Amino acid sequence: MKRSNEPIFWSLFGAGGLLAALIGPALVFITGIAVPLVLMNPDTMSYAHMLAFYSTGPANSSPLPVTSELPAMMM
Amino acid sequence: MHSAPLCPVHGWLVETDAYYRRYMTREVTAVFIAAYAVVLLVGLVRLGQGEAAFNGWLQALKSPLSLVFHLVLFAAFVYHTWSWFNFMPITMPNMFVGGRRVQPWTITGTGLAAAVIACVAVFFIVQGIHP
Repeated sequence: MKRSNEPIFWSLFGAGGLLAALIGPALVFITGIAVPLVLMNPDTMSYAHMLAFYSTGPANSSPLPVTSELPAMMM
Repeated sequence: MHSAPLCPVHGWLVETDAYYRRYMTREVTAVFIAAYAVVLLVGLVRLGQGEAAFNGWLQALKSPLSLVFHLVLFAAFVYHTWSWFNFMPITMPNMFVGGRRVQPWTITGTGLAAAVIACVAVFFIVQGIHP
């Protein structure tokens, strides 16, 4: 029987879902609640810091964005 | 109302309507996760457009509508996490340690504990960068 490569594609969904399950609540809390309400330093998401994060930070080289739930993983 | 005829997967994963509803509620959380992904993607596009555009996005995040929306998102994410690990024992292959099958609640409990630790870690790492 020919082996199907379907499980590989499904595992990407699984990886994205797992990552969202592991750190998703923290991301939403930080970007959508804590920083806008200034419960955390508003500098956390300042233009300069985000630009530096996306240019040199792990977001730039991380293979994580490839796993299905892409942009959520890039933040 | 009985929904059995509409549900072709009866007998496989789905045993009762309540179970099916719970499963679909779980799947619907993916829509909220996608919505959050769009929010972040817009932020990324705004970042590329320059400081003024990005500050506009930051300002929009402070609007009451956005805050309420993110509270709903937060609830959906927490449910996603909770249900993800509750379903994990039946979605993953049987695991054996020392010849004995790992109990479902061990898998769920370990997963939920890992999620709590990961969330707390992310929060403190981010806070540590900009205290």
